[in-house]
Amino acid sequence: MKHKGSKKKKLGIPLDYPLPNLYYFSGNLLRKISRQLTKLTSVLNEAGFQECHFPFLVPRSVLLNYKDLVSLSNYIKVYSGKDRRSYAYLRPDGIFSQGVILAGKIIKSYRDLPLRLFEMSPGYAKTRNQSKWNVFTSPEQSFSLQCGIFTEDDNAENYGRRLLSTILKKFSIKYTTAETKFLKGRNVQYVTKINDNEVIIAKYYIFGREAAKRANIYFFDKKGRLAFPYMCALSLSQNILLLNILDNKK
Amino acid sequence: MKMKVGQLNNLTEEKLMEWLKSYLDFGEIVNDDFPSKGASSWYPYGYALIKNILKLASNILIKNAGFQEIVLPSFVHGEDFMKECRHIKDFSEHVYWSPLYKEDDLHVVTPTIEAQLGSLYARWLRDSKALPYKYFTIRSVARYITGRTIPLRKNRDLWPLKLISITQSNKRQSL
Repeated sequence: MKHKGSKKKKLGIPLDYPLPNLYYFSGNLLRKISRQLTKLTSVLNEAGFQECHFPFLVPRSVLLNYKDLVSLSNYIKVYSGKDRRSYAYLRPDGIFSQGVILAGKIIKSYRDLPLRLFEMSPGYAKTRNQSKWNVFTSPEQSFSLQCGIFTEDDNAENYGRRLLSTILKKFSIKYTTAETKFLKGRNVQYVTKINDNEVIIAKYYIFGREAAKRANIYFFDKKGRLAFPYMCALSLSQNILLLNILDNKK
Repeated sequence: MKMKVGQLNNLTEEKLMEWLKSYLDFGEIVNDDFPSKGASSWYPYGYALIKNILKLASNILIKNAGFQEIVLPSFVHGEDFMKECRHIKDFSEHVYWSPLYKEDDLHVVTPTIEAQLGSLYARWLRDSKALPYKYFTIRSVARYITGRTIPLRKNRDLWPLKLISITQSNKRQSL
């Protein structure tokens, strides 16, 4: 989506950078965004989510576990100047590949469940090899929100749905939902319309026990039996923040 | 690894690092067991701790010294990075390269912010934006460390790193 020049001038900050399709944020715009972020964190804290941080580099071996769920061509390769053969990937998302590793360390018994983790900060980003770029879909998203919900029974979807609806209500954004099949799971997308373009603002994936089994996360239930938790991954892109600011909504 | 306070002074560096790693994990601050070398994730308690420290530090910079925060992208163009590379020996071998748009056109995952800010400042000066430029950023940086990695100190994927930059019209003011 293209923005009008007048809105850029109003903000007083150029949304461009010497590199094509990558942006920097500073001054007034960053202050406005950080205000929105504090609003978001308050909603998440009320819902019982805990903030954490995951590293920027993902080894190839971790992503290969999920090669039937995701296509690796969408991810950005990096290699060191010394060694070109052994390459890693830049983080495509927070929870899906790395959050499960941290959750595996935390979950030991049924008492640790439900575990609700999220990651959101302007200091690090999620990168994807996007085919089309504009302000809303750049290869790097600095303010993306990633949530992971681990539950004992299949309540994970309810937690996710409730959280997204409260966030979108708080930001007063009109949306429609669309459901798609996601290999062995389901994918629910929240779509909004901006000047004839349809933009996905949020979505959640229901993995069931699939992701937990792959990452070898298990716990002991009340009867002392070995069990795998249910998992739901949630993502909210920076579109929602930019939308709010550029439309001058309160 | 249990020990008394007085024993810490007599430890070798290896044992001290072992102690540090075990206590960071036991206290649920940093998890160093991530599959890739030199990358660690932060537990919720550890993250809450570091977030408060960063908030305090950035408030001091903003209110007392008139700095502004800036969020920069994770990539630097290869050409911009090579300008910085001239001053540091073998620096190009110790960073991560990425073919972001094309195979020939390489980009670097930011090891520092100097190259990024240099290209931005050059642009602002051309547009006659008034000096001084006082900026800071909190971000993660990637450096290819071949030796031993230590959590919080010497990592390939280091977070948080607070970088502060001042650009003045003369040398005296900037000092």
